[in-house]
Amino acid sequence: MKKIKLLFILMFVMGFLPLAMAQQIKVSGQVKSADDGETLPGVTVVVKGTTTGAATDLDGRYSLDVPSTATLVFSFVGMETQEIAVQGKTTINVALSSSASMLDEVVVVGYGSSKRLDLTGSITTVKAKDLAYQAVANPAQALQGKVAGVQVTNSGSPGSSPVIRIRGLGTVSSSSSPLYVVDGILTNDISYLGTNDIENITFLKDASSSAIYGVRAANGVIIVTTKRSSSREARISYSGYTGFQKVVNKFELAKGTQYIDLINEKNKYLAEAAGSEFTPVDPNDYPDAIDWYDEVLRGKALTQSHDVSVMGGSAKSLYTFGASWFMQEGLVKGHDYDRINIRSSLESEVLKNLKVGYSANLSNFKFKNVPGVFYNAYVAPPVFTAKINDSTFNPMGSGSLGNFANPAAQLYYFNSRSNGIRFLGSAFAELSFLQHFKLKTSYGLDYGNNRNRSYTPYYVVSETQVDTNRMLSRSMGYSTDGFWDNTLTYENYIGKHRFSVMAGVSAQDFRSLNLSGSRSGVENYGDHSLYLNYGEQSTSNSGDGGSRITALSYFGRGTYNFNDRYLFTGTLRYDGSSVFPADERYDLFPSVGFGWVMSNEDFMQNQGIFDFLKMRASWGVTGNNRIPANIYTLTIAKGGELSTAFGPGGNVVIAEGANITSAVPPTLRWEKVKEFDIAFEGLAMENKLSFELDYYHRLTVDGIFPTTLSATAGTSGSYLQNNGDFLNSGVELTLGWTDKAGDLNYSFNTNFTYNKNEVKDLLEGTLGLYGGNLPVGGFFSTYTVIGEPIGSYYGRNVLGIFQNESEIENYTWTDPETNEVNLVQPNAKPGDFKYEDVDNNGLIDAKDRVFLGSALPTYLFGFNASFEFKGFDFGIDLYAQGGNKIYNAKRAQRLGNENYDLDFFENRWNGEGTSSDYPSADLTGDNMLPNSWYIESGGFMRIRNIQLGYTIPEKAAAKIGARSLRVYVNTSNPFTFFKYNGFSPEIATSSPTSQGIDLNVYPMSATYNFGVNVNF
Amino acid sequence: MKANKWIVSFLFITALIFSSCKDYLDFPPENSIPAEGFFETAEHAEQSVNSIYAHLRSWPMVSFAYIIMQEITSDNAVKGSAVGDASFINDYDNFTFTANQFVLKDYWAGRYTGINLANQSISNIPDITMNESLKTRLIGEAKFLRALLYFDLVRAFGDVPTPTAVPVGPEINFRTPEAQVYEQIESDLLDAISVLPATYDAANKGRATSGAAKGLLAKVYLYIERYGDASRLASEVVSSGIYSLENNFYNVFRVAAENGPESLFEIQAQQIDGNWGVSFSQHSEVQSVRGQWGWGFNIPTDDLAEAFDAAGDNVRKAATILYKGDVTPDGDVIAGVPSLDGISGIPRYNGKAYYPPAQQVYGPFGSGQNIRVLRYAEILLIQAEALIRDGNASAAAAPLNAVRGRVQLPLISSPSLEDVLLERRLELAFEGDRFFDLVRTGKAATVLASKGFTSGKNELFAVPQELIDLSEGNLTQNPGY
Repeated sequence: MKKIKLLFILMFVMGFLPLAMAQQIKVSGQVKSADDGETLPGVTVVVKGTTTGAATDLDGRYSLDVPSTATLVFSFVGMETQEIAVQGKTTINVALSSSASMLDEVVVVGYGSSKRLDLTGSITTVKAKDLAYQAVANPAQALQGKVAGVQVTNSGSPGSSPVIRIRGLGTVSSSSSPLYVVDGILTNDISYLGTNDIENITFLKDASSSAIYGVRAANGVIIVTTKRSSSREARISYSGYTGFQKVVNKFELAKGTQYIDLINEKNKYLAEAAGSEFTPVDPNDYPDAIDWYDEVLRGKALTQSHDVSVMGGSAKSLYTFGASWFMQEGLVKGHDYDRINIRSSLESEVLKNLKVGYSANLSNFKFKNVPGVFYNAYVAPPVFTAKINDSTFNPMGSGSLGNFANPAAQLYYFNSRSNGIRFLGSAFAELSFLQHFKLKTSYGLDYGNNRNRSYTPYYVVSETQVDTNRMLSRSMGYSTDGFWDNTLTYENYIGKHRFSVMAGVSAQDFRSLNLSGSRSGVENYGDHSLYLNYGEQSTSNSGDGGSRITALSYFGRGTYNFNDRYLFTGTLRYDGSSVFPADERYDLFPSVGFGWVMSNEDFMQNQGIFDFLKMRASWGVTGNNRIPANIYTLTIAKGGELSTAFGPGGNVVIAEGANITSAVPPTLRWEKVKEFDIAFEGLAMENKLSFELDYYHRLTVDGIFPTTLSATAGTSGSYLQNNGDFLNSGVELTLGWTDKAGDLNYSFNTNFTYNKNEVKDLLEGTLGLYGGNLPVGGFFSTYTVIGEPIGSYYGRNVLGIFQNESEIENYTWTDPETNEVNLVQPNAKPGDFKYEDVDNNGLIDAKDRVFLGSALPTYLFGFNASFEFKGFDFGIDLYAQGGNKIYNAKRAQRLGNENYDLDFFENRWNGEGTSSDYPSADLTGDNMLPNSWYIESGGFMRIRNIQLGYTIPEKAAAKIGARSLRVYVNTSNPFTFFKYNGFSPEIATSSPTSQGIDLNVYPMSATYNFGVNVNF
Repeated sequence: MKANKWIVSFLFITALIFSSCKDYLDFPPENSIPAEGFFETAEHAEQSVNSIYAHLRSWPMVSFAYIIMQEITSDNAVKGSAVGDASFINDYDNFTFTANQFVLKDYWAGRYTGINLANQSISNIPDITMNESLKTRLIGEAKFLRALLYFDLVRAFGDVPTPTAVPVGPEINFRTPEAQVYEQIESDLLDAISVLPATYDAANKGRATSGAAKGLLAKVYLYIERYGDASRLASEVVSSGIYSLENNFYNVFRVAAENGPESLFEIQAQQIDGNWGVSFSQHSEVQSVRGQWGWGFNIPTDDLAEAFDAAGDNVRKAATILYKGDVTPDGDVIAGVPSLDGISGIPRYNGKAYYPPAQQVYGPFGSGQNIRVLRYAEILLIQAEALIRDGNASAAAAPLNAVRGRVQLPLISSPSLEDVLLERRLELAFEGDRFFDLVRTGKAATVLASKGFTSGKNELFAVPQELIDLSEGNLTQNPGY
């Protein structure tokens, strides 16, 4: 309530400021764009040297009472400002020309917009044209390499969201993905949007820009502005492409006898070690040679997109409609994604001072899912055909080589569909009053609905790959996330002082609900028969879940600009969130930013190098509330696993069980990021060269991550606590060059990022966090601890391969006390890893683990070149990253006779002197322990896109009734260069402590597409 | 000004709405049962104790960790399954496992998870206002179960932390000397004996009884060499008249005999159509006939087969070892795979884990089979052993011969300790005691020497390294690891 009163008083006082009276005449007129003759609404018209002024209406008209000797200043963002002396005229019409300078460009900032010149934080905008040509499912996937400091890792799975990290990884257990703000609505995911829905995407990278979003901004903020009409003239446009995806850089596995050789070697070594008899597998029993990836992958996966949009306006309104269809086949057989989007927005001046509007985007999507088949395709013995006699699925030797699922059958019998609807919409009303005030209220709704149906048909492939239950499971869920935002903005200038104040309040209410049910015994007569009703009642099972999170926030921002030289921005947000315990619920998030436009100083006027030069520095605090809900409340576990049945043999009367099986932390505070940023940016050499150089220091304090609990406590393995501080510090450099030579226009843009990630501090008594559990053996492969990056690989250091028994016998350690000589690896056999005895205690144990690098890249590099020549355009994008490591975990997951890759086959140790770096085929026992051999470089360089386009001359286009027509061909990811022994060095794992662990990665693919853009 | 009216009314409405939501952020956690409301009724007390029973059938309690550490380490069993499949199990057959090997942590964590459940009950039930006799009984059941879990731990690891209440404190990072762990077990079992009923009504058959507690304590006394106490308690169980041997040895391990007259305590497992959680137990599945019903791990050695043959014990051999080609009394033909890892002869499987496929309803294969923990036959053998060790060999003949008589073996009039120990091996093969028995009787060093058993080291398993790390070294390692 206090804040509301304050707002009211503030508003009241400000309202009286502009009361300036003088000898007056009435001047009116219309403002148009000099470029296309369109009328310009919203142009500011003020009397020079005063605060008297008005804004043009939707027709670009204005009317003002001014002194007859006054000078009028017409200004509009993106346009050159014009001054015209009244000199007694009563009608003044003006044509404004668009500004050549990027400094006049309008940039959206939280709850408002700003001229680029005025910014004091690190904000980068990517325009639609840099995204829309790429054949990707959603705009997030197109962002790789586009912006300094932003790492984008695509999983390759159709319709998926990439993992995006802005300025490194600053959290372990909370969500590490940025906040998206779509037309003012805060959301965590934009995979529902098509690239053609977007006008631009703006990254708020530093804390001073993002702090206005307070507790949700710690991972950076990405503001997405969807397309909307800017003029009243009706325009219809179509954009579409069609193309295909194809696996590239396919990684070869061992096949046929190569595999038999490997397992015979392995089993011989094992039998020798155990002193047991060894019977080799006879290769003649397994005459086939197969690559399971060929059985599960499509040769070419189609993708296409079609988008139609209509924009225009009437006297008082502007409208936008659009519809699009996107489909993408996955590289795995049966994996499909399909989406229809409908969008609409309207803005109308219903009263002179009152603007209302809405925007809505509805997306209806469908997935045909596939199981995690890549891991199985890797391990399955490559000596079985998928089918026997092309009819029945191969039982894979019925356990003769171990229990293996037939990946082709796994895929064939997997029947899972997901459908969903996502709606993001908002409605607003904005009241302008007392010339300088705007009061805006808006309600936004993010609604999601997901439906899933999974059916397991009756099948018997082998004794272990069998399911006779005919189980049908269905789940339905929805979530609503509602925001009510109210802001009051005051903007004015007095002489050389330009300032603005914004204050607001926001309330959020998120709820979700999930219902699921299953029954066995459902016969399949086709999709129409897959309903739970047709299953056996006795097997009926149901479940549901739900969550609720609320937040209440008060925020404000003040900006000040003196003479376009000295800039200041300050923001403050007071946030409360229900995810924290009552006594830790509210917190304050401040920020300040300063800018100095050096090029506007007098002493810079006579230099010929810089057209623009600004230094800026900022500091701010942001928070992260995306932690699992209710983690501070001790709860009860219930259900079948905790229940039993008593009574005589075969009794089935359930005795329900429930108990406390978990533990909770003593308390929980906000996880916060404190960030400092200092930068230079500017234009030089007649605006041809643009540059921006940032240094940042982002410190996460009170970082939340699990405290591993001793298994002796008998409760769940861990709980979340404010355990640590993490630092990301780095440098971002963006350079651009735009020029022309005759008819050739060209530009080069490059960005480079260096980031260092480090755990700075841990709660006393916290050992650090082991993570990255590997499925076989459950070994932890990462360790997060002070002085190392988050999720660093941690394991034994391989010194080499034991070539023979005498090397094992010579690897000794002498006890300094007793002088007793012991073998360091007494259980080793030739072909095993020789591990370093780091702590020199004569044993290879857990204390011999060392840090082996991390999955976090230390540098990112993006480059783009584009050329335009007489209607032709050509562009090429490059992306590279380095300094990161990959855990080649597929090689290490061995319970039995899993397959190997061809690289391993060719390089393995199989007798003295055959290899000094690859071990023998026996990758079990101590050879399976996380160690340096499994860690490989994850650096890569890739051609992201190559595109050639041609815009048909206007006259030719006019013949088919079009204003413009462009056709293009594009290829995405055609070439990637890397050393990693796997399918792809892009391992999209969102969990910070198991990053870069390659277990089930989608193979890398290239996309080739042909597209058309037409405007009518 | 007209706009002012709009603003004032807007601000007024806003203020009204925001002031009405002062509890906007304050609500109970959605979709959860806060622990605050639990442990308040008799039903809660019962549910918490049921959860301990339920936990006993979980993976670390009865599946890999159990068969690996309690059987495959012994001379009765080897890994089995396909060559190369789960080859880490051979590290236990050869005693080459290290403290990092995950099965150790599985075993440890599984038992302490159960101890936490029991401690929750034991700490919280006393404060519940409820029927006092039910309250006492439930606490007694929890104590019996806690003792059972600590007995596993002390046998496997020696000194172990012994938290006995919640919330746990620093005590979990320090090892309690073995003798004190045994004192804790004894005290829990004495409490259980004094409060638990001797029998239950049909609906509650399978809950811990005073007889089960006496029997378990008798067994515990064997381990701490209090043979007089062991024979006394075993005699009490025998003379209670509640228990008797099944006539047919094969039937002891079938569903129909569950919680029957020979049973002192079993881990309850069941198959309830459509309820996966309650039907989930993989004791039988991991040991069932490979290529037919299960994974085929934990298979009998030739050494065990020869021991049966040497004793002329065909009845128990047939029920304990299922050879490829056998036809079970239930009419199933054992087909399986042509060969198994670790043996050169005819493939064979653990017959006690056999589950007639006709009984399979839902869940993992064989998950309906209770796991036998303590049967009357063992009580008789405990009695016999304790009497002999206590110098009363002649009295040992009766209980020993009761066991032998059922399987048509000649009676022994003056049995030796060796006779009883051999009888234990043959009667109780694959019931989780062979390795511990070898260690307890001091035979491990000789019997298991050829497998790689190191005297002075392998009597105890290694304390899982992760726990030593988490305790900042306060938890110490067993010698030799």
